[in-house]
Amino acid sequence: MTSLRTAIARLRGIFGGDRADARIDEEIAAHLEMLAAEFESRGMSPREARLAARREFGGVAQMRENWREQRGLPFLDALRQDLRYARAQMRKHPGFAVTAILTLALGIGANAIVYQVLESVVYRPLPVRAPRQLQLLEISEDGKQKVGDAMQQDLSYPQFRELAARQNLAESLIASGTSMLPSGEGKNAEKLTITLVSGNYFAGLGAGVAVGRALTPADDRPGAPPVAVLSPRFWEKRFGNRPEALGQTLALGGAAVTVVGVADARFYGLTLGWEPDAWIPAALQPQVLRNDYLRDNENYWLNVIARLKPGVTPERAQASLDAIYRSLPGTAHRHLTLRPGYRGLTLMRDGTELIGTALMALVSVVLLIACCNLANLVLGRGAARMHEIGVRLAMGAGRGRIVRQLLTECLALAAAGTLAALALAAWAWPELTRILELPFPGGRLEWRTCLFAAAIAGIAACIFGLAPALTNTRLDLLTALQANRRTYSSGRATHRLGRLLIAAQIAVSVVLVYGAGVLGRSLWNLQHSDVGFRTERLLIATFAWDQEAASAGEFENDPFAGPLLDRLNHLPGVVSAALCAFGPLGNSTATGPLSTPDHPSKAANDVLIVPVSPGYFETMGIRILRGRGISDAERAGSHNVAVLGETEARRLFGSADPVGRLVSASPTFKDEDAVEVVGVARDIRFSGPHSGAAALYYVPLAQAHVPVTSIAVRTAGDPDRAASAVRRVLREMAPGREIAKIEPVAETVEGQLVNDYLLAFSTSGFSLLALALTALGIYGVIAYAMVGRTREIGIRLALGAPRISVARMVAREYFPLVGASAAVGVVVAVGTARLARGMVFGVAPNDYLTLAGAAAVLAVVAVLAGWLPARRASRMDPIVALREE
Amino acid sequence: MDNRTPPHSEVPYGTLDLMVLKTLDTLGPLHGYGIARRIEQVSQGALALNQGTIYPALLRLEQRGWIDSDWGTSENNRRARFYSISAAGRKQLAAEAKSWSRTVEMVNRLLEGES
Repeated sequence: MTSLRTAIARLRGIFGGDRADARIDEEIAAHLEMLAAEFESRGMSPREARLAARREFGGVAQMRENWREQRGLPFLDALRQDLRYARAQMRKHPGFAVTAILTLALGIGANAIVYQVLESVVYRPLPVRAPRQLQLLEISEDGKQKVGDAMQQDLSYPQFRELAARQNLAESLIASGTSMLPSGEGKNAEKLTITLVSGNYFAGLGAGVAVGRALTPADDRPGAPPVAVLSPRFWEKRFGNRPEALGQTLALGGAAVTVVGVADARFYGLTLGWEPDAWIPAALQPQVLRNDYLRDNENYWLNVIARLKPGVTPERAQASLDAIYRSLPGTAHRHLTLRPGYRGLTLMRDGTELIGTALMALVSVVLLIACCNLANLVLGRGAARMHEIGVRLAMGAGRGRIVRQLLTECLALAAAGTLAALALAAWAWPELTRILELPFPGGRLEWRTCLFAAAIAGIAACIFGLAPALTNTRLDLLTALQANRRTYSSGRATHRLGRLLIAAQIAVSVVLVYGAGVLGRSLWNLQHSDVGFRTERLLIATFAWDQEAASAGEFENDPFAGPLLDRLNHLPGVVSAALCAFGPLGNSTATGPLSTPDHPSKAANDVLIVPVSPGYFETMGIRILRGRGISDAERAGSHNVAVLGETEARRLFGSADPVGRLVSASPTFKDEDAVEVVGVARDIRFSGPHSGAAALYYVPLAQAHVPVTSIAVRTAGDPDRAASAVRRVLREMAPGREIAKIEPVAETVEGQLVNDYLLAFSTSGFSLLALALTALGIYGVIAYAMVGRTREIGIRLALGAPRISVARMVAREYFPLVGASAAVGVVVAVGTARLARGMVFGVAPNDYLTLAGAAAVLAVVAVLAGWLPARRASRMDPIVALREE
Repeated sequence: MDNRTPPHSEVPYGTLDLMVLKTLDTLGPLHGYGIARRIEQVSQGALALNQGTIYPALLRLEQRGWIDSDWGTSENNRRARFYSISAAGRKQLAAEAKSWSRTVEMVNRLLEGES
């Protein structure tokens, strides 16, 4: 009760500040008067009496301070005072304030932007109800790690129905599969991205609608009227956000569906960055696509997400679902696992997370270095204010009080810096989303980003404010008061902290420069890595994969393959051309088992199967190590032959010569589909420079029942110039096939290195910045030390010391420091290199050459930065120097 | 600058409050100077009290509701703030006085037993 009353009284005290101050001042005056009157009555002169009264009363200022602290919540009250003081200080030294605020704005702004990217792309869960309850169902095969992200579809429709009917640990199992469907007729048909979903999709996820209604289980029954829910973006694009869109029909594939609703504006489906145009019930699948997948047990086109019942652990749910899954037909060698689904199906998240985390580390390190510089500035300024601080200490201010006040000045700077940083980030974010094509049009900063910026600003202020404040207030009163403004000399503590700060900067810079070096070398390695085929003057054209046509068998034994090759080979500027299916750098692959009489297949899909036309190896520049490649002699129905990749040949035959031996594309060797190995080809990096050597199995295109998916063309000159001719020929010869892309392979490979470029260049940029900041820091500290020692140097020079001795003195003092901190940097660099292992290619974690290089760069920068002030000090005129003191 | 006086009074912690309450209880409403004077007189110079230290203590007591204050006129016709003990303050004084005597009694017994 008493404490509550005190608290209220104190709170009131904070606000009636000035009135309360007037009251205590009047009380003190009255008290002193009464005391003086008494002393006068004892016979003192009025002057003596006044002095005696003061002595009897004690320190007026100190007592008033105590009284004030008692009056208000001391912290808030002091803060108000300090802020007023900080503002005055900023006005007095605008140069310092502007430098500090700009440095912080850039440092914190960069941190805020990177955090914003991570927050909106990586961390933020799906905009649905209780996203943490969601678990993704994934199917993996024995002995195989699931490759890449979850864009692979896992379950067939009958499997999903069985699972959903028999499981009892999830509130709901929600299925979705996305297809590109033509809307309209013939050539003018617009391709729409349509997600086919189970009827419980909207209710199960907890995703709402902006207008109309969501899809319901009643819509997902055979024979139900065909309906669709539009995405908010498509609603805007096609219907201009008009509610009349409801009830309209939309032609989709072979059906006309009625629009019944528009999804909530925040909802984008399950994959960030890949919003469908509309959702329709899965039961409509046979109507909108030509084939019926609803009864097909082996067509895996669904991603399934489960919302677990409260209290059910993922482990328990996984065990139960896996058991049901394995009891289904056709699931041998496979099993079902669960993965947290709160972020939906990943598409861009994994890559962004890696890059974003690396960038986050980078920008925070740069901020740290900037903080060290600011700390040095503050420290230097603190020394200049020594007189002022000395006076305040002498007047009875506590050290804690002054530390708090100095810190408040830094916090005020940090606050101003944060506001500037957020303004910067708010301006840069929409630009960035546009440039990087992130799916957040007109994005605003997340409140978490603002919070994050404020938090790091607080930490930064403590780093650059606290240490100098503690150091600057630890001073000898007498010296401080004697020091006049011009000839302050730095205290030992000040100097020690300054050296510590540049040591930290040097160490951190070594780490950054090393990182830049390693990432640069990694990039160089990737650019110059041997992918196993010759990438220069090679053009690859890829057809869009048409699942529909492929399952209908439309392009099997492509009728146009022979004539097409002829035409291409006779194009001017073409050295040779070849066709293949599921080739390297394409967007589809085929895998399967491979066995010999001695070696059964390890798993259901050991090898990448690549059907190729004659001339393929020559065109691609893949060396044949033994035997021969695929020739014109191979026809449909003729003797079945194959060429093995190096790795696969070694796995199956060891060191023996595989040419003439038999393999079979089945789990265990079968005589009836035996194929003769006619050659061994050099390994290639199938998916580009980052990938390892793949197990490859080449068969003649003429003997495989698959459509051509890509065309390789080796050109005489610039492959770009041949591209249009190739495109014309393809249009003419295969009018039914959509060309996904025609691109020189060298460009495709470059394109795969985007992330590596981004990392290498941003690290280099940031380490240059760090070097510049560190150089400035070293320069500042040494220059400052030299000014403090003007007299000493002047005497030395006057006594005849050679000028070079000044440089030697500086070197003796700072070289050990530079060496020691660079060594610490090297140790830290080796430690952190392990963390970045996933990002570097072909560089050992302790790359001694790069390490030594990084340390050397820092040493050079440190020597240069120290040389300038040392030289200036050595050139001073001793007479002038001594007279100044 | 006179730096010889210690920053804090040598009055044992908490006893200043008790002394102020007792003074106000005995003498009725009094200004800060009067209270300080009275405490000095009673202690017969045994306390090295900076008179100024009385004010934070007065404020503390007022915030706890044990004393009230109001403007009045001093003996030499000057406006001064007068403090008076409240009902809650009297209760507090009684409790503190009791606990104080108990403590003193206990310490005395201890010291006598020792000798």
